[in-house]
Amino acid sequence: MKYVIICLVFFSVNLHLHSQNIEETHRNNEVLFLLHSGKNGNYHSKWISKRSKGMRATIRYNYYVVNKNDTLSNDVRITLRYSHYDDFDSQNSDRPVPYFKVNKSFLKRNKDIIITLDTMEKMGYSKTKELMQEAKTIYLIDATENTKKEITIKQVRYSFLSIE
Amino acid sequence: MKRLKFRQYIRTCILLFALSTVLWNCQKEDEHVHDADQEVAVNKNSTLTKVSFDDVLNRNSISSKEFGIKSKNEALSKKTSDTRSLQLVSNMGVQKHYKDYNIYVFLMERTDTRDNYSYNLVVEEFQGTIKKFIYKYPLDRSEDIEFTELGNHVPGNSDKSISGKPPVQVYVDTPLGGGCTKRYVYNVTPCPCVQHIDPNVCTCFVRPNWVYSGGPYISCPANYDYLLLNNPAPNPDLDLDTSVSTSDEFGCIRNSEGYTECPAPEENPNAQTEPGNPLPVIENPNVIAEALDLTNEQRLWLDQLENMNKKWEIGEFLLDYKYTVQYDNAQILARIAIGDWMIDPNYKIDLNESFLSPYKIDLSLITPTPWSPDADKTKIVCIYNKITKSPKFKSLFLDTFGDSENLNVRFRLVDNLASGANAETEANLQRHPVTQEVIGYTGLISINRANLVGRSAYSIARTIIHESLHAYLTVKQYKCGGTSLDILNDTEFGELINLYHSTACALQGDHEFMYDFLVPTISEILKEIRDDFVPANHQVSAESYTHFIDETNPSGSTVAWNWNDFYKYFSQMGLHKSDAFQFEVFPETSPKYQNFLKYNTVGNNDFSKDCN
Repeated sequence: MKYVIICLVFFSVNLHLHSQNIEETHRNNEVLFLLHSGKNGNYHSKWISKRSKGMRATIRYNYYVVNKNDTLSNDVRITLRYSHYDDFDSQNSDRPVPYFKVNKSFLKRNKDIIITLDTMEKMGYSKTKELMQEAKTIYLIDATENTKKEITIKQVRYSFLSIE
Repeated sequence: MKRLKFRQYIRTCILLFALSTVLWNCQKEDEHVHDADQEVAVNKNSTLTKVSFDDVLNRNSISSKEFGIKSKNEALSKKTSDTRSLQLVSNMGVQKHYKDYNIYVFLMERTDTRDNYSYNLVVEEFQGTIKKFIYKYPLDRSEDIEFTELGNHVPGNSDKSISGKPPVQVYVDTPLGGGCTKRYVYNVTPCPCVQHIDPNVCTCFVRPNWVYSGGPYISCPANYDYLLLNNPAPNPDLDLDTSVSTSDEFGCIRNSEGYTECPAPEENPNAQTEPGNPLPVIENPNVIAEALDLTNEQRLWLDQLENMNKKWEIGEFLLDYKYTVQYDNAQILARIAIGDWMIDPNYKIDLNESFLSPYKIDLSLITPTPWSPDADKTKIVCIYNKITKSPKFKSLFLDTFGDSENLNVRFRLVDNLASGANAETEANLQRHPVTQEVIGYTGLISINRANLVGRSAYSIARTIIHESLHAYLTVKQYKCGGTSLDILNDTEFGELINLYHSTACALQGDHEFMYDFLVPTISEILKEIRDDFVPANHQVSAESYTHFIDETNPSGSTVAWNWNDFYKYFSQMGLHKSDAFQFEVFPETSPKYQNFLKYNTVGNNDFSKDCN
């Protein structure tokens, strides 16, 4: 019995270290995981456009981040864009953007690091924007694409209209 | 038996988890160790720090009197008419540490008169002994640097001076092929910091001084007919054992040691003098402040500036242009740089590079150099050169700025812009001192390096066109000349754009005007350069897209790619904060806005990111 306990202790230590690693990555803004309702609502929306046959639709996931502590600004929208291919070069050589399924337990295990609209509202628009701009990779989970056992994780890009 | 197997299984399980945990942790530590090593490797050569003169005295356990510094009263009482009197400008100086060497440099100034020299007290500390020098730099570069070694710090002997210090003889060899070598000889006074002689690698604030001594000397292997280098016909009069005149077009002779001697470059215009003859200068910060007519805030920043390299850079840069017609422009750029450095001390700008270009449209700040290769700069210059192929861009931008003495535009690449913009154009107007009429314009176009990542070359080209038009519009706004627009005469143009500026929100005046009048112009330029930026297979891919909204029938079927719509919406990027855009294209759910986003997504992201 004591071996089983020792085994479980090692197992949990390992999991804890793994979780710490992801948190560290999050803190360094390298990889972000976002959850979107996948629906149109007051503070979130999803715009779908089918570019051409044989390609997954291009989807713009919008969050409208309003925080009372933010300075007044016309900009409240954070947009993440999913596209089947990054660009025409990737399309011509068939190198699609990462899109994969994992066990639904991923949501529970990583609930502390998954960024939701609530998280964004707590951070405020400016900090959320900063986080998105500095992230090297952003993954998004569209809640409407979840099944009983699996969720779909797709790589998205922060999309913004830059001034000139 | 079963129990034994279970135990073995559990043991294996524990071993594997423990091993994975240990390995994971070890790997992380190794990364840190590696980083630390790299840092040491980068910084081990030398360090540059701020130091006070008192620290130097304390470190060597000597008093200021023993060092040779007199009090103010002493200096006044012993002053004679034929001695120059120098004083330290500040107790603070710079220390360069290199291996066993410590070099201290303090700025000095004459108290009796002002002359056209800059003075430094240079203290070399090596293995417990110190040497003291006064370096005298002629500001107009008409003379060589003069330096005087001050006597030992023995009381009563401190004024004894020993002049000069033999320069190092340096050979610069260039292989010519076939085993032959071309050699120039220079007498080089190393910089006082760490005795650097190479001006291109010297990071010292006092640069080495190169003086041409001889060459080019061409040497070849004994069995090689050296005359083939310049003259294919063999020379029968050649005597290889003694120095003889030859028919060589450069008037070179070959000496008894096998070297070919040629006249000095002054007498021989065809010979190259390489490398150049850089002259070190340290400019007193007060001189910089006066030269630039700085504000009190700027003067304070300059006084407190710890980074002597920056001070030196500004001083040397100003001096480079002090006696030239470009001095006004140099002052403007130096003021801009100081403003930028005040906001961000790490802001990168190379003042010297900026003025090397002879063009009125100055690309020197975005042009990569062999010693500063930069992929982003290479890409920007490539993109700019392709834009200039557009006849429309040429007529508006190149013809406006390329031919005028008073209208200048300078491009630069910055690491980031506070506004987060893709690029910004800053206008510097030159006014007549009496009438205050605008008589000249210098535009500074800053391209944001942070926003280049992931963008297509065509999108960056559009940004450059957009910013160039900002510069063009300012010239028209102040009626400084420039090419006319087909649709407006110059008077109407100036008045109209002033009207737009007076009624528009801050920073949107140009954008309102561009939306109303210049979208067709930008579209035309984009059309003219499309094939240079968008490969044919990318054009085909874009044309296969069918997800655009039919603006005449938004609820109907989607429509295919349309190049004219693309040019229109792609031209409007950057104008989206203007009232005109918001009124015409918004709200976000409108068909126009959706098409604006769709076309710009393709234009910004999907087309080729390379510029070849």
